[in-house]
Amino acid sequence: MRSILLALTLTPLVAGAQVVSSSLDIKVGGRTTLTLGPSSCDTVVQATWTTTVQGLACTPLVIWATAGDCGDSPGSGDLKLVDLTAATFPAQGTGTFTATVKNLPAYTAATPKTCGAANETVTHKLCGAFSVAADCNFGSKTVVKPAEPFKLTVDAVKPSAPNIEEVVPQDKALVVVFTDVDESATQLYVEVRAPGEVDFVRKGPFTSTQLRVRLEALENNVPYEVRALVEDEAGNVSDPSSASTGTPVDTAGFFEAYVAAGGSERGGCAAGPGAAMVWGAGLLLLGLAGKRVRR
Amino acid sequence: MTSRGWLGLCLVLLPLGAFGEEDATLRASPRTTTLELKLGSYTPRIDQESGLGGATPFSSTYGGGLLLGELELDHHLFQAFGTAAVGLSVGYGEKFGRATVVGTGESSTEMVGFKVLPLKVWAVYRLDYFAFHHNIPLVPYLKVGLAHARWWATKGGAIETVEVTQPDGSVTTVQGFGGKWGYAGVAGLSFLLDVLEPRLAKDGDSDIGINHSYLFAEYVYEELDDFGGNAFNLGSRRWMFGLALEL
Repeated sequence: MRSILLALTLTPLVAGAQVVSSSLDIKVGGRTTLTLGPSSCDTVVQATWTTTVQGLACTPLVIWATAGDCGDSPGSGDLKLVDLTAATFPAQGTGTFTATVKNLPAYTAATPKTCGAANETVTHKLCGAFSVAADCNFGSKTVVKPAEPFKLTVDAVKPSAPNIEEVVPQDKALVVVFTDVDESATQLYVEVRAPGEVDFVRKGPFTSTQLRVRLEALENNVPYEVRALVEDEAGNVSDPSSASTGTPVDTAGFFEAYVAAGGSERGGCAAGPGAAMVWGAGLLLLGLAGKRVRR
Repeated sequence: MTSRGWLGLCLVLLPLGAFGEEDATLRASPRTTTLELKLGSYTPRIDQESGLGGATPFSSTYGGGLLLGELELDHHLFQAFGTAAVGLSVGYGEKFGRATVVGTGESSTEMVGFKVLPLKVWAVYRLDYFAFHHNIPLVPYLKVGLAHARWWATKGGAIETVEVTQPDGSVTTVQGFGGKWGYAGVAGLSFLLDVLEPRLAKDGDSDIGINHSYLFAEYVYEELDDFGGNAFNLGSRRWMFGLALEL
């Protein structure tokens, strides 16, 4: 009796363990998103599809681009990119296809958008589907689609300019402190202009999460104008922030104060081997002491 | 200490010693090593340099001393009457302050730092005979050592550099880092923690090899001025407190 109960308990677990899912992935460069800038309309995007088929493939593998949501098959106005028969794609397992940005549905619709239009972001999805079953002529079929559709975005919206909260004077340097950095920003630039100069000199890029940037190699007692701008993944650059002013000042740390007071230490590498000698002596002693402790 | 004081100390320690009775049924594992972790306030004797003429650049910049942590490992050589050992220690401490604006002397927003990394080789003697044979849980000890300390001064996150005008009018750039040699001596007293929980102490030995544990206080006397040099003296006079494990 006990063995029957055990079998009844274990059988569903075993059966469940034998079910392996079919899958479909669509990626570009290993990623499921791609953001391009406004000048990318002629860009040809190459993507890779990968399938795993458990059971029998009953319908062709179809991949299409849509400006709306992915269904189980292309809708009217969608752009079909791949159409492989059920007899061929399972054995192939993977393949590539291309799509030209300016040919995507939003730009070829009856009322088309302008590719790369200023201040506009347009997102397309690359969708795919096929169906599987244990027997294509009997029973229900399962539609296999990517877990997350691939998203291709043409982003022509400039990020907002960051805010310079403070410019902190240092010795031949300025520390610029930022707030309100646009979430879409990936890189940050700081521009500096000395009095009498016409153009700002750009420093960077710095990572956009770096809220404090140190600008070095400046002259003390010179009032510099400082402004900042950010760039997003699509290459859109914000307008520059309003300019702030900072003047580096000559400062003295402990060592300069010590030297100025008459101290004779001059530091440097003269005592460099010292540490190694101490460690070497210690290791030698411990090596000699490796003999058993005498009691 | 007066005779009454000694009597009071004995009255306190004797009951503790009673807890330290050896259990003849359990043999302790061999003692070979002592590991010490210690902390103390460290003020280098930089401001005592005669050439400063009474100026105190270190304390003026950083205020008081810095917190120094040290790790020491001693290997036992001899365990007849007390324990003789040789050891290595390494420490680290840092302190931060603000630079001053040249000309006005006002405090600036620029941060400055002083960092030190002392290294020492020790000869150690611990008078633990009475702790292990007469159940007095106090172990006095002495250490003498050769020392070397690395130091570096920073400003704005980088090594501070100073331009020094030479007698011939040329200017050289001096970098704020280096090392100093010297010697150190230590006198300390450890309290054997085994007496508080003898059973736990024996389990610690049998399970993980910790023969004994101590709390200790020690006074450090050190001179790190390149054996009488006229420049930086990274030596100090300080107390250190810590935990010692005998393995």
